[in-house]
Amino acid sequence: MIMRWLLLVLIGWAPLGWSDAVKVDKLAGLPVQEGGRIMPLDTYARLKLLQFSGKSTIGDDTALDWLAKLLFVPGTVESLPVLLVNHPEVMEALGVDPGDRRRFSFAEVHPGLAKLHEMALKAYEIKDEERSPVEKELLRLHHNLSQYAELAQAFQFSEAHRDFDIASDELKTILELPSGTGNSFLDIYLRAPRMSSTLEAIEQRDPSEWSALEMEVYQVSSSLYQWSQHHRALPVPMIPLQGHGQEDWVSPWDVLALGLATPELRQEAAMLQDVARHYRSGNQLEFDLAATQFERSVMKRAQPTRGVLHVPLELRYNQLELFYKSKLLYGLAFLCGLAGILVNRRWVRLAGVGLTIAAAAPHALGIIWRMMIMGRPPMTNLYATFLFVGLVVVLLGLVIEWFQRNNLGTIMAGFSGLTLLLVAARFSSQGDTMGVVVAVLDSNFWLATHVVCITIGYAGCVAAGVAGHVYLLQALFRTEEHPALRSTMKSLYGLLAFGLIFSFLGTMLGGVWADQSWGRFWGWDPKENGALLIVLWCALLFHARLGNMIGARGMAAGSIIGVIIVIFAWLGVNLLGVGLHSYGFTSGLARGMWISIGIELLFILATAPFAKRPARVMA
Amino acid sequence: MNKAAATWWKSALVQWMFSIPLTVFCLALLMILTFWGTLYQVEHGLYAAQEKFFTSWAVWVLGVIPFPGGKLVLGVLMINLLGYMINMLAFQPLKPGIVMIHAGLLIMLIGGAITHYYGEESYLSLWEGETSNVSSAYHEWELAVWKRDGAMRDVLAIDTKGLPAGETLSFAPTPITVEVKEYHGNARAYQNKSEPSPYLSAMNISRIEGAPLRKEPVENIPAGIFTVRAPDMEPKDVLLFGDDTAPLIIPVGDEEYSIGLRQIRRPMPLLIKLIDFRKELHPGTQTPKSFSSLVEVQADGITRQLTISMNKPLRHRGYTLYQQSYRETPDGKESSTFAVTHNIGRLLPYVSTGIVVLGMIVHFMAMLVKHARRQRRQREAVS
Repeated sequence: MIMRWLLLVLIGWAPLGWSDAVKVDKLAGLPVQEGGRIMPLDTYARLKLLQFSGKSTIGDDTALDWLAKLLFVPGTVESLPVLLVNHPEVMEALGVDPGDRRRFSFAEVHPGLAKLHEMALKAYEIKDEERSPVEKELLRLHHNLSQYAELAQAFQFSEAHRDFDIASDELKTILELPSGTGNSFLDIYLRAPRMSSTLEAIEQRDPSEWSALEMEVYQVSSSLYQWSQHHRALPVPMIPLQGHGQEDWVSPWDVLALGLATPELRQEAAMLQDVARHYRSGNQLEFDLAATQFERSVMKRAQPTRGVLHVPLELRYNQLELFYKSKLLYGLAFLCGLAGILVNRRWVRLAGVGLTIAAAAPHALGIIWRMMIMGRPPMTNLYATFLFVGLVVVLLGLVIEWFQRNNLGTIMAGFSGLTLLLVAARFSSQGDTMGVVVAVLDSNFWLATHVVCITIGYAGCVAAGVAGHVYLLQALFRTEEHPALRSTMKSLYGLLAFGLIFSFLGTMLGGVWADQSWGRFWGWDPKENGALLIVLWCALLFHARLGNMIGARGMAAGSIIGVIIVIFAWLGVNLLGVGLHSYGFTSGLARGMWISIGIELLFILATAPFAKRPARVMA
Repeated sequence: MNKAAATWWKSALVQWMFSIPLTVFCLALLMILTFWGTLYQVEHGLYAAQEKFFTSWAVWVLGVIPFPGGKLVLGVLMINLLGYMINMLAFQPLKPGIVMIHAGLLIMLIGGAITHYYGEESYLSLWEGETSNVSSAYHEWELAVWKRDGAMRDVLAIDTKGLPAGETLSFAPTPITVEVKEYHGNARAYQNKSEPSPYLSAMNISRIEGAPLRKEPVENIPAGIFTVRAPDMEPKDVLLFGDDTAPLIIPVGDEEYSIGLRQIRRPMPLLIKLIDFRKELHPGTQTPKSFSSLVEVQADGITRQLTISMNKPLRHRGYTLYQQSYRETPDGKESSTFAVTHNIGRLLPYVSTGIVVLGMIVHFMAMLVKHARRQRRQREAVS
């Protein structure tokens, strides 16, 4: 580990004479193993860039463009600001003036590497719970930097290096090296067997008796050995390796440094060297050919597992950016709904409905696409719950629009669809959105029933809350008796009942799952409690209304408080960081949660007390 | 119902007990408890939160102000529900959906009470090749005495919950009585290598010291000092520690008795042998993909092999065994731990959930139909 850091500092990277001309589309669909699954290199590149920088593109470059540069010509990207540092103190400690910036380049951090390493070693000794945010950030940067450095070295085997320069023409002839260009690790590695007889011959003799040729053979061989020692456990696992009846994917360095090489594997490593070389020389056609040849060779050998077969599907999914399209259309639908209220024309209303449907289509398609790639029910992580709840709220909005025909449903659908997809996008920056599930969640049946029910319940309550907002706004201008308010209240009732049924069913199914997998129906676990709170609150609202303890306005305000409870059950419980359901959380999202709860409370205070009273009947 | 009963039923107090405002009040209290209890878990752990908020009659705020506990609120809700149902069935037009929902909830609360009072949870850890028919409680301990010889051992055990110093425990029909000198629910034990312990101790422990109870009760290790008496024997002071590797042997006359402090043992009506534990990881990661245990089960004279895995427990006569965790030694030995539960009310939540959901569907569908009819009538009236 420490050696790798030193090596990085020693080598440095001199940018080569290189032009930005090569298109890397042919690399996008190469299968890579990461996080326990097979994914296209395109996804891998996005994940890495997200992990380092919190964004999925950099400048005009896509993540894949950036990754190709980092792998093949690392010197060209070392001044790009890809390293996100959330605490300025960390950069100050490294001797870099952070100013207002949050992203820094490798070149900026490079001089402080030794210092960073030293501080990180200290921070590692502190228990995770006791680490300060700065220490956590320090470790995150340290981790990201080592991964960055590993990626930068991942294709060093294909680069010409002076360690492998051969001076004597005799040795060049023995090795059948092409004249002119410098040699890479791989060039020599592939020809190493030709030197074995010389090596055997000198083994027994004293170095002072070696000839110049023998000396050079010895030097080159020991360079080979040292390089393979220093380049262990590097990414990118893109070569399938069969053994012990199962398949594992290894990186080219694993093939070369760990002595795993069979003739096929060597050949594939050589193909990758061609890919890298043609990329560096800017030869598009040769590059495309080499990449295609590598892909064919790998796909021929790889076991046709679900992961491998679905790589093209996932690549297409990445390229289509369905949710991005949905977001735009939801925004338009929302505006159209608002316009519909102002101008009250039928065609405006219908246009709003049309836009909502047009937005929901890619949204639904995206969810189905994800299910097909993963072979799982729609939700296996927090990110996916936002996609799903968003879609359900939109569909509920459309149902309401069908019955009420007053733009309310469109506004609800457009607003909620856009908001929830935006929140989902925040969550996607946390890592692989199609990651593998841990053993305890590995049950498609329960993921499909309990999780779907409970999130439909969330959706019902959120939709009721949106209707509550609309009601309180309407109540500022009209009295309770007005037909518009009555119809909004009816929708609210229906949505809340819908939310109650599904929350209850989902909560109980969760109990059944718990009973099936660890033997107790109910254990007051935080997530169970969160779900219970939703059920209790809905039940409380209905009973309070029934007992005339609250009026319609109370019901509307109550439904908004319901949204706060849903937010707590959905996210707040994860924030607590205890229990079986906490899947991790970040402080930025916690802040977002508190802000949205604050806004909801302010909204109630700003609207509910000022509702228009019925006009007194003058005698 | 006769007139007097009807009058009593309709009296203000009784009606209030069964009223909707009380329901709302109880639901609000339950929400507060749930929220509070959830936050409490962050600092104090799940078990403490359950004890303090959910299975208690009262929560003491700052030690002096009582706040109704989960047991009390749920109990009142149960009476409230029951009364409401009687009221509705006797005096009001019948709404089948509503009746079903509330009957279902009532069954659920009853099921919860049964599980709370009669359910048992324990665990069973087996190394590969090992066989057992007794499971151990997680954090309840017992003082056990048994005759050392013979294959069949009659064990006499006394629950150590709240053992007061000075109490004398009889282990009849054995001649042994034990007086408690000191007992700690959680303790630290100290060995003194240089000199022998003043007590009889299986691990030559010379001193114990009470320690604060842990957040997770599973982590508590009790210890105690006891005076063991028997006819024809000098009273002996023994020191027992929960982590003793072997029980203490006490010779009484011609017999030898074993005495030990151990997690309460619960016999099961089946004999289980772990043949193989299997763990699968997602490739290239440390994320577990699945755990499973291949076991041989002997019960009712039949021996069969089966696999217990996550989400696939073994059920036998009210007992359920779940794959819970595992251990590995560096030399490749594996052990598997099963959670064992015995709960006669296990099916009640299933039944009640079905009834409630059906009731909700019936009720809200009826409302929807009513609403749709009214709307159609209004439209017809307009046209």
